[in-house]
Amino acid sequence: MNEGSKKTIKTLCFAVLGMFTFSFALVPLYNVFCEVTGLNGKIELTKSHQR
Amino acid sequence: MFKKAITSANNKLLAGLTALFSSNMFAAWDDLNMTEGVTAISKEVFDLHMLIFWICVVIGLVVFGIMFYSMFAFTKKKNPNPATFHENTKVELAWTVVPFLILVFMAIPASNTLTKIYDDTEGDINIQVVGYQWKWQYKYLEDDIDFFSNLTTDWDEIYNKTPKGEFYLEEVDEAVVIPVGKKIRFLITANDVIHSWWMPDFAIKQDAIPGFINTAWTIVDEPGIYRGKCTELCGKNHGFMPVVVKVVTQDEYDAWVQDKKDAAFRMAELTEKDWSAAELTERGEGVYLKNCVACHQVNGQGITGIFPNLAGSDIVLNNKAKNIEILMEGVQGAAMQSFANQLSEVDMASVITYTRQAWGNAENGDGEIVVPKDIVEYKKPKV
Amino acid sequence: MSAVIESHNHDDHHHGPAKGLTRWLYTTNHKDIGTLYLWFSFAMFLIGGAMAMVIRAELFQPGMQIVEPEFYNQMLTLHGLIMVFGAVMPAFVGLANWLVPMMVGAPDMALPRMNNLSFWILPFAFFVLLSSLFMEGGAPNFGWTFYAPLSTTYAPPSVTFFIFSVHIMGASSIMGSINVIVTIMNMRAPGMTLMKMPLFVWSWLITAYLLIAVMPVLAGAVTMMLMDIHFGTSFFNAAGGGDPVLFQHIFWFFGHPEVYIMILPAFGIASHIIETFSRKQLFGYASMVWAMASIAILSFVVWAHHMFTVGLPLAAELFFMWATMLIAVPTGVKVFNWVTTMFKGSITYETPMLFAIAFVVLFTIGGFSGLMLAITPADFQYHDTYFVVAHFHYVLVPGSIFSIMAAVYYWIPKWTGNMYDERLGKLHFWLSFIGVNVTFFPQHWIGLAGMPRRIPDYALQFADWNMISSVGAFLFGASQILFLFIVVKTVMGGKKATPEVWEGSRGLEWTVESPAPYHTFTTPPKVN
Repeated sequence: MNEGSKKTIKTLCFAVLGMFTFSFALVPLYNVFCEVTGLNGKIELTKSHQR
Repeated sequence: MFKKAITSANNKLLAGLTALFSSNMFAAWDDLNMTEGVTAISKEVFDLHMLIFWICVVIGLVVFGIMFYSMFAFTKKKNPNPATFHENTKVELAWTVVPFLILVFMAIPASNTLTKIYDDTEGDINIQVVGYQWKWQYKYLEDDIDFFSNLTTDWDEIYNKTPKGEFYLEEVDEAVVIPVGKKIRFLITANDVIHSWWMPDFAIKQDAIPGFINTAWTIVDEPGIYRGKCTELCGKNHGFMPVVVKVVTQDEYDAWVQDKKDAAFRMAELTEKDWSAAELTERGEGVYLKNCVACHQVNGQGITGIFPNLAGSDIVLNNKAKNIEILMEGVQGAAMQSFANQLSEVDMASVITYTRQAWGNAENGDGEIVVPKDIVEYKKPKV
Repeated sequence: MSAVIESHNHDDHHHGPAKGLTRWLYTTNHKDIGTLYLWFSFAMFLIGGAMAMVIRAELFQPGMQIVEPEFYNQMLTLHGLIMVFGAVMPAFVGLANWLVPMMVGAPDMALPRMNNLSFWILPFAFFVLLSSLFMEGGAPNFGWTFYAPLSTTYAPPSVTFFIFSVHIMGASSIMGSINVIVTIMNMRAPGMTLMKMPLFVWSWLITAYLLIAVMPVLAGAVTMMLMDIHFGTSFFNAAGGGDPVLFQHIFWFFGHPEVYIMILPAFGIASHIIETFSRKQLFGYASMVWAMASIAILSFVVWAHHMFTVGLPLAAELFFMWATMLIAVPTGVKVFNWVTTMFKGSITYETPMLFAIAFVVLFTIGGFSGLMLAITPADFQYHDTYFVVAHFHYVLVPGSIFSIMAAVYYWIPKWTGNMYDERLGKLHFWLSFIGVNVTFFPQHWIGLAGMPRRIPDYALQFADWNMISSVGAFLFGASQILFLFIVVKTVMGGKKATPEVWEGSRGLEWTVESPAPYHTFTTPPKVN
């Protein structure tokens, strides 16, 4: 197997692990995104209509 | 300013195209198309749907026209020497830019209508809609009216034992009642899994998500009875929890509200009365058939591995306190939900009593019954 | 299996295929593995199809006649999972295995032993999934999109096996994609620059990158599910501080690129077949490449169009509406290029061409309903109705599945050395074409008229068109038995095929004998 192939395989394996980690990172990222953009419509609504 | 001008021109064009291609042209095809509905928004949505549809038809005719022409004119027989061109930058640029412009033309009215739908200011009447497995609960927040809405189509009709009625799978015991011309705001959530509340005639669809509240609003122009559906797979009876909204005049609405309040008062009286075992069992059977039979089955046997049996169950036979607790709290991490806010104290006591009496349980267990006062007692804060 | 001829023209370190059944267990040959994937996918297609027959039989009339609602939900869930992960994806991988090495002039895939593993874990995964039908509580019943909490708190015990099975399928796809990318990037014959590669190869290069990016995200989603179910976490449980909508975001971040994974190779196949049977070079090669790349990139930023009714903020809904509409542009470019290839061509209508033409027309119809769905306020009326079911079946059945059938008819003479029976092939085409349209076109109407999806029974106004749709489904289903017959018949014998097979064919695979020798291009060819 040539050197180029070995390099490609390594990069792709890192990409796979990276994307798996990314999916877990989405959990806190989701909340961060909502705070930073202020796009929190649903939760604001809940607050203002709690009786 | 510019944006307004485009929007206004767009709306005029939309109106014109709609007049040309309105559903009246295809009235006989009414059961093949989306409903126009009975609100200003639903009509806008319908018009948008038709606009995009016709644009697609025109594009399709042009593209398929050229294709079918080629299929007939350029067979090997008719054209034994094929052309050799295989690129043309000008043409390719054109058919990238023109579709893009068509999309922009579509996006403007679409964005407009969406923005109107999201206009979320207070309503004249606020109704909380809660999806349950497998029914809807409606709470009128201003008037403190609270009721469940269950499918009333008989399972005998569904299993082909009796003929199907006109509103097969589209009828409920308690419809939502709202007045014409008032802004109604729906606050939509769920008690267990994700459901979705869809009223096609109002062009409202919002998912009912446990732990979150989604809002929708409507102003209905015409009185009538309108039927909708649950539109998110929510388990076994997803197809059996319809929505029915009755739109009435303001006077009729006020009378209905008063009726509901009176009924609540009468229910409070029932809670105080002394009930016999026979009375509770009789009432309880009705409650059971409405609320419990889907999982625990008519014979109380449940479904092995999924829903526990009540007939011969140790808790039902011998443990009145635990029996009450399960109905009032639900079971953590399982499908058994709390029925505390679904059933009145009278209905709660009746259904528990029924299960403790039915299927030979009275003879095989301690035979203890539950009365409404037991439930009132349970609800008191514990010291 | 396919007849294989030992080639004597190359240096003879290579032996022919091993003898006996263990040949198939241990093979590292891309042609054998391609064959394994294709037969596996055909079997899964028939099993998933049988489930569709149960669904359409129950929907033939209002009322419950055949199955209980509980079991119906298991059928619709497994039907989706099997068709997506068991039929369409493995078929495209099988085609990649057979064709990519030959098309780039390589002797085999880059990692032949991993190739074998990638295949053999699939029957295992599906055995686990299908065996859940016999477990207590039954098979998964929460739809192929398995939203939480229906798929976590409220799921039957078999959900754990479902998760296990999905992990294995994902591993198979990821390994397969690594193989495809490494082969294409590192093993092309000298002279074959990227912009000289056949379009099927391009389509698979792009598809493989999409798979690398999103299959791990699916793995993340099902792992979180597993944790919520068994380890007391609350990723998707609101009471514990989590969010059911988070599940949908993660799932569709995978799910939307996934549907492009299921169509891009079809685009590649269509380009090959239309070029050959029009006897005219494909119009706009470079644009075709850029269109596929644009579609792939855009596919990452449109996921929430599956979630327009969950209560997203207005800004998000507008963004996703516009981005989704935008995908119509590169897709349209491809359709225009196929039509222009045919224009002033010299066309004949063998079976592969019939399927390819039907693909272009019917996929485009699916594309139009997709454009309608992109319009968010209108989507409030379409979402989770049969309008959506019609849309995705149009792009998947006369879309992906027809392209796979077209590919089989087109390349089977190369694989087996035998021509298929042309009259039977055309019959299969026409029965399938009629079947598919009678089944799915009326579903647009019943969706618009108000019928939700994933229901075992419906109100009376939907009865007539449901019955017609079911009849179409039975016709389409039965026609696939004919297809099975045609394929088996061709494998066993038929008119002998030349190396070129088709008059207008272009590409390296048509320069080797039919059937292709067990080892091809052991010495790389020179490409101008």
